[in-house]
Amino acid sequence: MIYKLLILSIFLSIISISCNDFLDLPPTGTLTTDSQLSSAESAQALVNSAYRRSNVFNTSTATWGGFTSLLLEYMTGKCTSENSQSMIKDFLDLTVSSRTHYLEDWWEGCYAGIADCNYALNKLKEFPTLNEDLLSKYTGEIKFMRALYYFYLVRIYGDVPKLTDTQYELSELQVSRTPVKEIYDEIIIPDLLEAEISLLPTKDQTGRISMGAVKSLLADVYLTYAGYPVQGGEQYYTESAKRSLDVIKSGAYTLFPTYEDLWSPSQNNKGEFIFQIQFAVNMRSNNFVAIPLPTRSGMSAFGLEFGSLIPTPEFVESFPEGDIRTEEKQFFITNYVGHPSKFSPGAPELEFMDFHGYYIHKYFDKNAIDVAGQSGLNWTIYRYADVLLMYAEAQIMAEGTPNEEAFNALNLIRNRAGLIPFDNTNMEAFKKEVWDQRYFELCYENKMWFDMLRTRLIRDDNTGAYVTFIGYKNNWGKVYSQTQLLFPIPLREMQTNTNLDQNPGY
Amino acid sequence: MKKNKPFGELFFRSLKKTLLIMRIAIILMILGILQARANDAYSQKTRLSLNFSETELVKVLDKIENESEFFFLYNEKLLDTERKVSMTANDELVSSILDNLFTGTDVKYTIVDRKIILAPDYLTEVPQPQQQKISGTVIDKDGAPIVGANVVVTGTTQGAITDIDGKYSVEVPQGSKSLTFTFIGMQPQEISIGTLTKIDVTMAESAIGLDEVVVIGYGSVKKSDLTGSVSSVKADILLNKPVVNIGQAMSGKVAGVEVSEFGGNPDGRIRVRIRGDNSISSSNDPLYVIDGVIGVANINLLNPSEIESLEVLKDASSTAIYGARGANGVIMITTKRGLKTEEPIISYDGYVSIGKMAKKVSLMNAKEWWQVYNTGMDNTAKYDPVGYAAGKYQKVKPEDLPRLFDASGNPIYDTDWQDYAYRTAFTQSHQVGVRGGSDKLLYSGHFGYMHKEALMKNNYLDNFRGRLNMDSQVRNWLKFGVNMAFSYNKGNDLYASDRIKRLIQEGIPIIPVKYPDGTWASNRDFPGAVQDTPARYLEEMVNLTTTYQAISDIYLDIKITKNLSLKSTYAIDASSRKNNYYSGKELIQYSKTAGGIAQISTNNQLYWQNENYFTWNKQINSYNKLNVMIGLSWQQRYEENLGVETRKFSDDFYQWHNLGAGTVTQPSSSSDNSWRLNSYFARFNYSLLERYLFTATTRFDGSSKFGQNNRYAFFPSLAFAWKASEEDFLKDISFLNNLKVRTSIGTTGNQEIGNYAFLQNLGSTNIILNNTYYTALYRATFGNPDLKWEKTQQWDAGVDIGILNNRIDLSADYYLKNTSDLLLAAPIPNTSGLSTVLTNIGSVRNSGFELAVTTRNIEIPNSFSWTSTVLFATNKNRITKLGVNDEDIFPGPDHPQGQEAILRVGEPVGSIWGLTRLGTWGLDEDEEAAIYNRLPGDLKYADLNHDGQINNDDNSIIGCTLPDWTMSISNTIMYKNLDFTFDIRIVYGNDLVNSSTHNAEDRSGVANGFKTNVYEAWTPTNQNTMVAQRRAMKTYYDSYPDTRWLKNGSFLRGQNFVLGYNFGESLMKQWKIQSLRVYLSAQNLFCLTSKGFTGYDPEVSTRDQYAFGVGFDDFSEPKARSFTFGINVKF
Repeated sequence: MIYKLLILSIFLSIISISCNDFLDLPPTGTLTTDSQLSSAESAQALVNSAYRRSNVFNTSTATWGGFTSLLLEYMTGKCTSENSQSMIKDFLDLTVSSRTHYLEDWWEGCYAGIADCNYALNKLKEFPTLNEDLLSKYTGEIKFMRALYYFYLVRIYGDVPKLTDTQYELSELQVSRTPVKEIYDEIIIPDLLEAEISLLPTKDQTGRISMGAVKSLLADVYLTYAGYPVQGGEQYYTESAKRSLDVIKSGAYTLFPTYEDLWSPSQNNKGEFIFQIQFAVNMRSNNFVAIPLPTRSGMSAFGLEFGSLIPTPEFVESFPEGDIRTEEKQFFITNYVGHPSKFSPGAPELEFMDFHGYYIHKYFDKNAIDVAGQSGLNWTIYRYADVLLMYAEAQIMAEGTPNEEAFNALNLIRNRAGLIPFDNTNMEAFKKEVWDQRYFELCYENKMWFDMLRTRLIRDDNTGAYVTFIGYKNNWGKVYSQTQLLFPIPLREMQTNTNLDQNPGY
Repeated sequence: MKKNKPFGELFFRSLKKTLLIMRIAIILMILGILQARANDAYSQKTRLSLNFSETELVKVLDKIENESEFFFLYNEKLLDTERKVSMTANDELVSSILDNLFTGTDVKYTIVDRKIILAPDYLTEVPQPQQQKISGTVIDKDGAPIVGANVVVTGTTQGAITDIDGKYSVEVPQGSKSLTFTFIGMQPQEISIGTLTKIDVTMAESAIGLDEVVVIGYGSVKKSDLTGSVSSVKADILLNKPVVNIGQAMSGKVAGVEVSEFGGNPDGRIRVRIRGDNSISSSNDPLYVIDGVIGVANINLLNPSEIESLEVLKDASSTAIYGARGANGVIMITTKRGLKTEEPIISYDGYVSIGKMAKKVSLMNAKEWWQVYNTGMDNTAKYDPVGYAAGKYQKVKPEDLPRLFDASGNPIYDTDWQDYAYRTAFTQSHQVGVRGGSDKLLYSGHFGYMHKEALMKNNYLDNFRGRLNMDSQVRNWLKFGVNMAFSYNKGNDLYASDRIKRLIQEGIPIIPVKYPDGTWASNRDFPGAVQDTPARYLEEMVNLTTTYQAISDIYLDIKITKNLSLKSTYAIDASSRKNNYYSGKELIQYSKTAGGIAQISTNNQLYWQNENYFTWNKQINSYNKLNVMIGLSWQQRYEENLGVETRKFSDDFYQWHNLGAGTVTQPSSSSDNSWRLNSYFARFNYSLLERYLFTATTRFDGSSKFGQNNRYAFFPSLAFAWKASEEDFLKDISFLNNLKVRTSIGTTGNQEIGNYAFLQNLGSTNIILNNTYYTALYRATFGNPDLKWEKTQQWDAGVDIGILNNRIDLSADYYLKNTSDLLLAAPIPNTSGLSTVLTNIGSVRNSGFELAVTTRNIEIPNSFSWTSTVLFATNKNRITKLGVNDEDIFPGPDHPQGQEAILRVGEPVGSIWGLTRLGTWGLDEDEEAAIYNRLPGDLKYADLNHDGQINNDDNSIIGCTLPDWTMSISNTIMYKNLDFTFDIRIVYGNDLVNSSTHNAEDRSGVANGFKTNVYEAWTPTNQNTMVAQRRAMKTYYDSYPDTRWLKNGSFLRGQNFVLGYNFGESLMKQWKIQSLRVYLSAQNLFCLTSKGFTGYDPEVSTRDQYAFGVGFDDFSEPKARSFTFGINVKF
């Protein structure tokens, strides 16, 4: 009996051993926000996170043949789609709703990028031994990216929730919208001004942010700030011109001699390119290359051609006579000789493929289309041509008459297009010419829609005149109204955040 | 922060704990109560000292059993165990004690080694001279002797009970007609005597044995003493058809358990739900417990042939003992154990089976397809006049494609891709078992091999599976056992690739497999089409999975006292799965641009558990009986994953065999995780007057998956049952054999979420800058330190009725389940940088009714019998709370054309979301159509919000994938040596979504599609239709999840038909075998569906990776109709 009691008591004592240790099971494969980070590599990894979601500017969406960048093209009325799953009809008919594709992708991607920047900025402060110079450069990179994400948000959605810190509590998630101007004044501009005094290099060919990128973005921000909807005042044209002139004067960037370089992956991050979103073969292919190809033409090694972005003939034909950019296989393409790897011997496509219309040639990575089926072509956020034209516009808006540098900037663009130098000093004529060149030079690069919004003018293809945005009738007979100045807040966000008000008209 | 202890250390710490317990048990043994030793004349040597006064006989017998190795065999009905006796014995032989006890009574004792058989002396009386003697053996169907069976001369009180070897000898008065054999749990048998002097009887278990023992968690009870809702199925019912996995075996056999079989994969894809879906973000799969090993992985790979019985615990009272993991119900599997037999029984079960596609989808042939293509191109002038005028729609000219068209412009080939890809599949299975044992050792060995071909070409599964179960009575107070199972599975499974299944339906019929010159043909040979044919994917793609799994457990069962025992188990479930994948360098859209993709990925898991529990059984007096179980448990599962991939191979030859041959290396990946559970549990059973039964169960669980704040949770339950038929006022109702009313209430939990979800994790990913990877760290999860268990409260009320000598046996249950604190990946504002947070917000309610009725319609012993079983179940599901603001959640699956499933408060899970298709716009509706920017011939949808636009705001809930009710009907008819079984299964009232309608009907021209393209599409003369006018898909067309995609999913399936023949006894004696049965069977002989059903089979899901993906058919696979010839033999 004694032994039985002994057994039982021992057994019971085992049971009563506290087993809290047993249940403490921290993860082995992932750090947590409580982890103490101190290595230089960790600091660098936090900075790198600012680039993590930079693909939001041109990434595929859930719909077949859909890319985020299409949102900013479809609204311009200068393009269409022969991929019926691209929701093109919603855009042409101006019936975009809070559930339209692409909207949530932009919102989610930009805010995820902002959250990465906010987290990295806070966490970097905890590093005990981070070199001051390094910290300055890191801060410059992160703040540039945060400003860039916000810059897209305010232009797409208008007033947006303002977040500069990491959110840790469920109770703090329902953030209401902050006016556009406040986002500019308290985040975008201060962030960029801080980046401007950081130790970033003038030029960077590794895909990281350079001082050239900071100045280009600042030039764009001030130019936009001076226009609609903030209308900050003429002094912001001066501020803008100052930054673009800095880029010009740095001598770090030059226009490519030929347009082909624009869609040649070997020129990534070089020459004319100031800031690009990075793609790489076998790592992250830029499948956008297959987006503008004629749908199901069988021509590309991607295996699919989507036809989701096609120029309207009216736009293409509105280029001036003799413009090299409209020559076959410059900015546009109408026919092709098929590659033997994709057509059987004897197929007529090997001789000649007639597309029966204009298609965009600006992303025509030939090796990817013919052979590789993957493209490393970067997606450009800023290139030198853009900066030149921003300078020309800002300068004349600030000073009333174009100076020599403005003429020079404009004519560099015209020159490459095979057009004679422009010499009219009339402000309106000069301004119109600069805007025309923005339409022609930067078409289908996600610039046109934002230009339309900040100027509230649309260039009519038939007359070449700049017509007021509100009331303009597009090629499909639909009329732009106040509503189209902003996209709606995505439905999912409206549902999860009760403090949000929807944009008018949606 | 505390350092993470290495797994090994913890493993050994727990092992040490177990060893300690074992050591204690051994001490107990050595210094224990008795040092009795066995020898040949045990009864002559053993002396006992006893002292009782006015004690019930049963207690004296108990004491003797307790103090010695003797045990008593007697028939309770024939022995007055409550008789009070007094005696004193001082170091006396057992025979003298027994003399003392039974002198003056009619009881006679017989000592056989350690067994003492007690029986009234009339059974052992000196024979009367005019009586004849009949002897024989009584065995069960497995050949094991039945000890203590009653053999009575029919109509008299004269008879005998069988001895330890099942043998009996009975004196029969002349003129007696027959002998009746009875034994609890067996069907009684009456056998006429005639001139026989030897009668051997094989007794069969009664179908509705109230004294059948049912396995519940940490113990077992007699079925009649159950308080909870537990369904029990024996192997002969489960395995009356060839099955590949446990789910197929259960299908239609257990009330309230809904098993859906989705498809054709070699290992079978099944989904098991017990009483509906409780959870939204967490798992809804039941917990599987095999011989006490909890939560076994890869349940699909368990060999069904090893199963002896299966119990499904459904209500809170029975599942609460598994507390934290019991909310979705528990399936307890008991494997075959050894048998006490003179000679081991060797069994062989084998079958060969052939399967063919039961139904084909109605697709266009070459002529029809070519016609639709041409019509579409012609019509495009109407839908895109500008593009048409510009020449954007160039019709293919047959003369340009001489390989596909003959000189007169007709297609040369007419390929039926379904016939090509889905073959006649052969399967063979061979299962060998040996079961035997002696008093001290029982063993059961099992080995099986199966090769199963799936319908899809080149898809197969091979497996070798073995099991050894052993139970040893080491000492009379110590039992020890080991179960060991090992399995090896290897198979190629391309069903996982949606693309192949889709291509089989979309493959263009004018394209051949290969051209006469031997080169592969491709859909791309027809301009506008983009892929290769399925033939090439089937040949140049491999997805080979090899799994090894070992499940082993040992147990010690220590009888501390007569009433108290301790069971200690230690179990391991170790598995290793390796997947080898290769996709060829020419396969468009898969691996062509990558130049071939080879992957090897592995998953290794180790689970261990240590459980210890005391059971105390106490008959306090004849009115009060108590059974208490209390225990504790430690569990851990550890998992490690590794994946490597290389691309760009010079030749398909290498596949995954030589990853180094690929020139492009992808970043390799690895991960590991583990969780632990520490639990304390108790169950208290109290029986009053043998008719009022109470059960209280609790479990206290701690899990590493939850934050410090909510680590432990308590899961209580209560149950009460009243055996009304035992009441005096009902005892006299002769037709009522059994009436039991049950009710239970309790709480169970669900912890099936990922690990570490309460923490805010820093994700690590690669960013790319200038063709180089760099590491980036970012906050990847929101984390929720307050995360806790999902809790399900369930109330159950049930009744069990047996009437007309148990000819009709009925069991009915009503239940109401409320799941609260739903573990929900709740959407949060994206402004946080994250999309969801795992949180406990939301509630779901399930209520339902289950009915199981078995009737023995006709029963003529040894000649004809007919038994029917009907199972009926209905379940209603409602979401009662979701997220912070009760917002809708789209849980997937979603289609590129829109969300298809929605979770909304007030609606059931499984609700289908979509537009309402009214038809097509007619020629006279052109003005109205223009409001929607559409033309006559375009699809016409209901504009629900009347805003003049058709968009997502016009979606509504259009259906539900949950059935209103399900039913299965089984009939077994036996006539002499023939047996015939047929099982019918009915599912009623559910909807399906045929998403492939998008590709196969809403658009046309670039791939094959339904025949409706030809025969139902809009034309000016056929305007009343649901199919739009054909046009080239380059122009616009409408296609969204809508009511046209919705199909009625009700069906009636001829699930299983079996015709068997048992060879007669004489033949078996001649061949020296115990039993031999051959059978022919048919599975899925027919399936009646609703009129509009267009898919392969209504039991479908191509999206079963989603919790609510059932019923979504996006290019599913056909189901087989199969015929089997099988043989069961026992030596």
